[in-house]
Amino acid sequence: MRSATQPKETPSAAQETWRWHWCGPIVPALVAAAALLAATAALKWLPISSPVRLLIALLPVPAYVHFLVAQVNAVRRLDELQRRIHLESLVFAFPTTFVGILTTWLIWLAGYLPGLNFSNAVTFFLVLMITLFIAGRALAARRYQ
Amino acid sequence: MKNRLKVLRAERDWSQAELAQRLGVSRQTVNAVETGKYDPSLPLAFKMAALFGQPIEQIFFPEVQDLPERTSHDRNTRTDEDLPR
Repeated sequence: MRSATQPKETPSAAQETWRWHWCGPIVPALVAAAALLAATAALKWLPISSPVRLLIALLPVPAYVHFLVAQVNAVRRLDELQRRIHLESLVFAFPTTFVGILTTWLIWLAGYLPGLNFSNAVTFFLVLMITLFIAGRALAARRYQ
Repeated sequence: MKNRLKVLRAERDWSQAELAQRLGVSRQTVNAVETGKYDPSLPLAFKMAALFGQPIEQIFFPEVQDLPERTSHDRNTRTDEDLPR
């Protein structure tokens, strides 16, 4: 027995969502990566004066923002199970990164990674991650108030 | 949570993709619900109930271990169902 009611979406719409989730942010990610590489190359090899160097360092920011917006839009298009999967991926990735950085830092402190300069980078990443996590939680909690 | 989604879908000769499309979710979600790996949200469960034209409790039903254990106090306490209609 087939229902006479026709579905609202086109046949491939639901499947497209998941595909779009993975492919949608790829172009903005490539643009951001290209902007980062260009800015890095310019700062390393071009003889540029100080204020312009700051400008070049900030040039990729719009590309980063574009990537973040694309990422958020991609997640908003997901259905409830796909969002849960995405959340669980983050729950896995975020603390793993945290633990990974801390472990690498301790190995470096033990003197086994002499090539790395962790002294400033670790502090920066830890403060950044914690700040972003608190900000993210505050934003997420606000949506459900 | 158990459900009769697969049976209801088969009765209508719908594929998982077709049901997913009617519900506005992915085929992965329909498959996960059918196999009991994922319990849908209440809005999605109601959407399914509306689509199949059946009450929600005739599509989804809890397994015994999902139900709260009734204490002797509960058994001795009258519920709404005990009240005269």
